[in-house]
Amino acid sequence: MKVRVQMFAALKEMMGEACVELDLPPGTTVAQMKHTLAERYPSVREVLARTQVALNQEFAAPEAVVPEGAELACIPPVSGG
Amino acid sequence: MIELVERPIDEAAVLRHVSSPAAGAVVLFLGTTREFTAGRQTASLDYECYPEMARSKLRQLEEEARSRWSLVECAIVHRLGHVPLGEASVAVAVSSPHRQAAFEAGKWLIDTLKEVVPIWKKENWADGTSEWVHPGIPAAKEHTAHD
Repeated sequence: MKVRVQMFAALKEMMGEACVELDLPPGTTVAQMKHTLAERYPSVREVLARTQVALNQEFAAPEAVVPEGAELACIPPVSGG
Repeated sequence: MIELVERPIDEAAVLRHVSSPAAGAVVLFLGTTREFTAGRQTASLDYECYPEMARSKLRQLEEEARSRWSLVECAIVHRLGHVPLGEASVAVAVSSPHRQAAFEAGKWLIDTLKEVVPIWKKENWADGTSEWVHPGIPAAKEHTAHD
């Protein structure tokens, strides 16, 4: 299944893309999706390790399964305020 | 009231929003852009966010604060884009019948905002370099202004 993952801040800048499209097997977990991203973008491995994934605008557990059609985003450590 | 704005924060409007005859206390917190961080000079800051989730998280924070403290009104305004030195990047204002709730709720709101709301700042250093701030990740990205 194809998913699109939004990127922000340093991740977006280092990857050079605001949105990344991935082709994932059904049943892929959030942790596996991050692993796929780290393989494709080795330069952001360290940032990804500390990045949370938002699934439909809520932080998702690593073992959560990525549903088809979900709104996905990588949330590196936040620094608002 | 939850707002993400790309212009200077109107602090008087934020205070007006939380003012009420039901309140005996109003607390306003402003986060302002600081010139020196650990001895390093900042020229300005830029903020970006994940707008839909940032709004949703801010609404959740307001709801939780209202459930934990007796609040009359609550306002959270975060500025996005370019913020010059000394200007407010965030305003949190709460009103309550008595001051303890207002102080506690205001502190909890800004502390929690800084932990969970998907907003990021980029330090534009005075030496021309800039970097996104990601707590726990040293110098995630640094480049010169000429990149």
